[in-house]
Parts: sequence; structure tokens; C-alpha cells
Amino acid sequence: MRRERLKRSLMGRGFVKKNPGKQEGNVTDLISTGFCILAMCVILLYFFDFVDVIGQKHEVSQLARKYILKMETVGYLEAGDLQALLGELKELGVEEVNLEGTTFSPVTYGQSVALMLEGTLKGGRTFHEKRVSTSKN
Amino acid sequence: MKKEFLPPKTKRRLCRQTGQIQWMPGIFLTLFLIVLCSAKLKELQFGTTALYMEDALAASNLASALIDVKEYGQSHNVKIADPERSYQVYLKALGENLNLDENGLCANQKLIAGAVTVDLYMIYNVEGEEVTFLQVDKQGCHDLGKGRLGEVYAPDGSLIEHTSIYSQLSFEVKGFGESTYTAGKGKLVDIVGESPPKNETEDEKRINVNDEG
Repeated sequence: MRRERLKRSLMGRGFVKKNPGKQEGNVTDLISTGFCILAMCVILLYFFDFVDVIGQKHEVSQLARKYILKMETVGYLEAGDLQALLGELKELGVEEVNLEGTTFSPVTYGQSVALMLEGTLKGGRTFHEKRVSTSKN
Repeated sequence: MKKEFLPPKTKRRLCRQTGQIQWMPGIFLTLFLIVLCSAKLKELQFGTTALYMEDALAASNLASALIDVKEYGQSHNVKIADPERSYQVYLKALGENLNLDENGLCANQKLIAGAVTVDLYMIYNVEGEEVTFLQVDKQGCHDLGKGRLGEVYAPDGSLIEHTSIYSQLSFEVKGFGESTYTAGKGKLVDIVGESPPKNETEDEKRINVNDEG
């Protein structure tokens, strides 16, 4: 009787566990681990997105370099080259391409030729490529 | 039983609160990943800047490669007759390719933080076995002498084999925070003419006619 009374009073003050067979859970551990994993996943997703856009912009720059060299040789951007350029840009996933300011009519030796490329990369990021050289035609 | 009457060891054990050490590894790893990704992105940015400068240098060098067309037509000699004009064309093309203002500052300050300066502009004219090298700057054209083909090298170590133009730039790139670093880039471009048409001799003409017969 006395033992039972002591146990009840100690239980009330939290000195004796109510159900000694049960173990304390670790839900808080799971929450903290899950939260950190989620944060790392978000960081990695943003990182890969940035790397992808940088890679795409690099490809566009290489295309601009290739076509300005062709324009130097001929003196302007030929119709066939224009179609090929637009096709390659489409393959890269570039949208809303604008070639305003590009030299489309032939110029003489030593005159300036320009290739102006504007467009939208993946993710809605706009870019502007400008290449200027002189005609060797 | 009241707490004041408990032994000290029991009191300490009962008064201790549950810790939150489980957050430590997660936060540490997240911060480590942020630093790693930032460093990788900065490395990519430097690589992009280097390629951007190289493209602009190559395009500007080629733009300034204006040879003497009359001499080429007569002797098939590729030679840059007017170095100062070539230099002016080079500066203009460089300004447009890098989108520089009158102070030499790039519009895209994220890639190139400070002014872009032309450190060196060299023209190597090759005539037969002789190489004439000229340096052009704002003060004008300076003849630096001559050399033999196969023995003259550009400042970047490339062997001069044809008429060439070499230029070198220096510029500043942004590091982490407000820090900046001075970088340089040089590029050599060759100007190669087409090989002259072969003139048939009388014997060759006779042989060709006999083959066709």
C-alpha cells in the first residue's frame, strides 16, 4: 500500500516512467535529418541548373565564333548559313532568336561584318552575342 | 518527494534537458555543400571569362589581318602593309567584341571587373625565309628587327610559320566578395594565303595531251 502510494507520487513528479517497457521515439531526429537532406537537394538542383545554363551559353558562343569566321570569308551571312545557324540554335534549345544588326548583304575587303545574336536560353534567361570582324572577300 | 530533498546526483540527472546534437551534422554538411558549390561556380565563371576573352581576341586579331591585296595578287606574298591601320581596326573590333566603353570598361562587370588594357600587339610579316616583326601601340609602329623563319617565336611560345598577328590583354576578374585578380590572355593568329596556281611547262602539256589521246 505504502509502496503503491510512493510510486503514484513519484510518477506524478515524473521520476518514474508511466510505461517502463516503451522506449522514447526519435521523430525529432528524423525531422532534422529530413530537413537537412531537403536543403541539400534544393542547393544541388540550383547548382545543376546554373551549370546547365552556363554550358548552353558556351555552346551559343562557339556557334557565333564559327559563323563569324564564315562571314569573314564570304563577306556576309549567306542564306544557307543563316538557315544552318537557326537550325543549330533550335537544337540547343534557344528560343526567340533575333539577328537584327547582322550583315546580310556582301561587303568589300576590309569592311566591317557583324553577327548579332539575341535569344532566350532555358529557364527564360536572355542572352546577347556580338561578334565583329572584317571581310576578307 | 520534493526535489530539494533528493541527492545531488539524482537532482542533476533529473534537471538535465534533452540536447539537439542531431542538427549538427546536417547543418555542417549543408554549409559544406554551399561552400563547395560556390567554389565550383566561381571556377566555371573564371573558365567562361577566359573563353570569352580568347574568342574576342581571336576575332579582333582576324579583323585586323588586312593584307596588301595588290602584292598578294602579284607575288602571292601575304604581308600586312599598314600596321597602324591594322592596329586601329584591332582596337575598334576589340571594343565591339568585348562591349567596352571609351574607358575600356566592360559592360558585363560580373565577368571583367576593371578596364581591359592592350599590353602587346605584334605583327610578324613573313617573306620567303625572312620574318620582320613589328610592335604597334598608341605611340606608333616600332620595327623590332628581322629573323629567320623557323627561329622566331611569339611571346606565348608559338613558332612563327606564316604572317601572323599576336596580341595580349590584361584585365581584372572578380573573386569572392570584393576581391579582384589581375589576369592576362594572349592569342596568335596566322594568315595563310592559297597556294599559287601551277604553270604547266611545254613537256607537261605534251604528256597530258598524249594521255588524253
